[in-house]
Amino acid sequence: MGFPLTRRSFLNFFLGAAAFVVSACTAPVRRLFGPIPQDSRAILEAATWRLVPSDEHPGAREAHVIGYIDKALSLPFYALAKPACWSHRRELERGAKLLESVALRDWGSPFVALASSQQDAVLGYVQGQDLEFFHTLLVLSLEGFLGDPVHGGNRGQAGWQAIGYVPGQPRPGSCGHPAKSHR
Amino acid sequence: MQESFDVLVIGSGAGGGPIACRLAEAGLRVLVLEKGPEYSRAEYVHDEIAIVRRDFFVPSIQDEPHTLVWEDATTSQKTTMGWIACCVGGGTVHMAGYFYRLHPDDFRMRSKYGVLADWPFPYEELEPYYTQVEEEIGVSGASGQNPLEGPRSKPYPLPPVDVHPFSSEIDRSCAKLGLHPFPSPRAILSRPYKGRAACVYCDFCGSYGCEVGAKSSTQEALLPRAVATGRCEVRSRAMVHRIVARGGEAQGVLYFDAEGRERFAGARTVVLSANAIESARLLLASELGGALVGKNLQFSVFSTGRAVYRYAAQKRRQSILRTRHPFLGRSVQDFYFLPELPVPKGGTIRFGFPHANPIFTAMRLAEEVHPPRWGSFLKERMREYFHESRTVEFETFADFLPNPGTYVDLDPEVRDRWGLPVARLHVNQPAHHAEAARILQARGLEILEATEPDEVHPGELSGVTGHLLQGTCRAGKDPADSVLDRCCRLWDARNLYVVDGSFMPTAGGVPSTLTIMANSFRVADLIRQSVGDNRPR
Repeated sequence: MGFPLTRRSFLNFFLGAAAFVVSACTAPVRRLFGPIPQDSRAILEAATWRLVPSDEHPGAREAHVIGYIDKALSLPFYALAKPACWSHRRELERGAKLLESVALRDWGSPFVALASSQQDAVLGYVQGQDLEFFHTLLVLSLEGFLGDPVHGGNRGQAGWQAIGYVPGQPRPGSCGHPAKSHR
Repeated sequence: MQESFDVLVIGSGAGGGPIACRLAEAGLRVLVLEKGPEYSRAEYVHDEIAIVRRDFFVPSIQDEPHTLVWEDATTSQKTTMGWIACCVGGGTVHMAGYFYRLHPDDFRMRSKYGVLADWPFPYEELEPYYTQVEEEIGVSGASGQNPLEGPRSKPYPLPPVDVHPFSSEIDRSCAKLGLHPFPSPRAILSRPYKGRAACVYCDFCGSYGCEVGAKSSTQEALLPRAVATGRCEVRSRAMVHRIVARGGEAQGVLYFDAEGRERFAGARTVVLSANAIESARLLLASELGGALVGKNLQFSVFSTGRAVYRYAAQKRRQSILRTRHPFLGRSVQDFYFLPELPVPKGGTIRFGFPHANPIFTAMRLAEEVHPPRWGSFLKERMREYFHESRTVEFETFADFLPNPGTYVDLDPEVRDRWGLPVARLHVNQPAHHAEAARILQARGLEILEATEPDEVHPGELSGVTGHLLQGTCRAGKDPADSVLDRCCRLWDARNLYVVDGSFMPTAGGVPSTLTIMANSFRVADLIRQSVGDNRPR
């Protein structure tokens, strides 16, 4: 099978990342999906606004990336590019707590109240402390920025416009069938 | 209610499709049992999240994992590695469709070079079937430029697909180095053919289904013919979990239907084609085939590299570089053999463009540096990538050598959603892989360097692709060292055939899809000779 490297690198990523994979989660799956818990939401939303900032082009704010993350995490068995996929919600909660504690420790303010450059400093630090959380949030932010709007993000195609990307046709819904899992 | 057929085919992909078509047209009553659903063209949207990132074509790891013991690991981990596609048409629905033939020497590595294993039949026996596949499903290409290609009885039925103007730069670079680039043969229609539309160059080929039917999947090109005979049914969402055999003869299969009810279907002949991992799994679960089932599992070894051309710096060629076109369409097989290595095999170098998927691209750009970039740095990098430069890539295909450390067995603990033991993969890579991949990568980088880019970067080295699966039911002349005879029939069940990549004693330095389809047509002829055509009903 030739290209896409998408799939091959995608799969090879498993093997390369095998060292980081969390061992099989034994908690019942039903407790682990649902929208982002309220107390983490504002922090994570602010974080996405820094991961994909608004500059002369739209960013995560305009694209409503947090809406994508909410919707994605509400899917039962939401799968990212790694095996222990039901741990994402826990990762995000853990990461939000870490962002908040570092913000208070280093800047004496809640994360959402910090200036952008201060939030960037906190994120840079947390990237080194919790690789898994940071990776998950970055991937979800990029999915929410550049995925088709039917999935809850990339509002008004703001993300595609921000990078000048022309989406592939046909798009889901354009032929009356949103693409859905075979499950 | 008991059902009974002439032929049962398990799997509707590259192995199952051709044989179902040929046998139904020959007058036999055929039931194809396909585990996955049947998608329509309307569902083949180009939505990266739904199709690529959320298990559209492959089972989710919660429902149907494989498990993996990687090299020296002492425990296994759940993985999605080794799934190709679960749907009517199998992997041929979403493949990028690079359809190279094997080289004649791939069939006789032991007798010619004293290494690996011989096939129980030569290239010459498979050649007419390669031609049949190319003609019947529509493969676009041009012969006569690749000195490594084997003999052909007929030219390609369709000319090569249209390509990006930069392909002439690859040609020029190869000429400087004394190499022989040739158009990458594709299972994609370059012209309207047999009632199907030609490619529209949408830029979303690999990983996605084709919404216009130009990709020559078994779903588009063969299964409709089979069904049109009135003698073939393709039953989707049918999970075969056991081949029932008695006294060395397969009687039929037990399967779970779409509602989860267990049913039995009987047949005079059973053809298994669920991919080399899943077919081995089914034979192991059915206690058929003997001690070698699952052994000699082979993937494909790959390496990559890329070159970047900045528009601002490449004034003379800026207009060519700015052109948008999905296909670069050049391959090089001058290094298919590497006589300097103990196993003198190299492989194929294929030049193309990175996939258009934006989320995948964004992550790749983020991870170009460590720690990964984000924020304005990442947005800037993305704009630069999409608007200020052109990137050309290559990937290489090299033989995965069969070895005692790479095989499939049944996981003793992990079960799938039907409660069945899942396939456990054991993977070990002989030293040859890194050597061959390193050499091919270096040759690929040299070719790119000769095109005068602004940057050249090696990419992955000695990666293993889980999409190309071979070897687990080796075909051979001697039952002591094979699972199948030269007809791809089990030695210990004389009406049970395996026609996916399982049969291949060697994998070769090319994707195996075309070879699997050709062999499927070949086995169909052998079954026809063995059971007779046009049985009166």
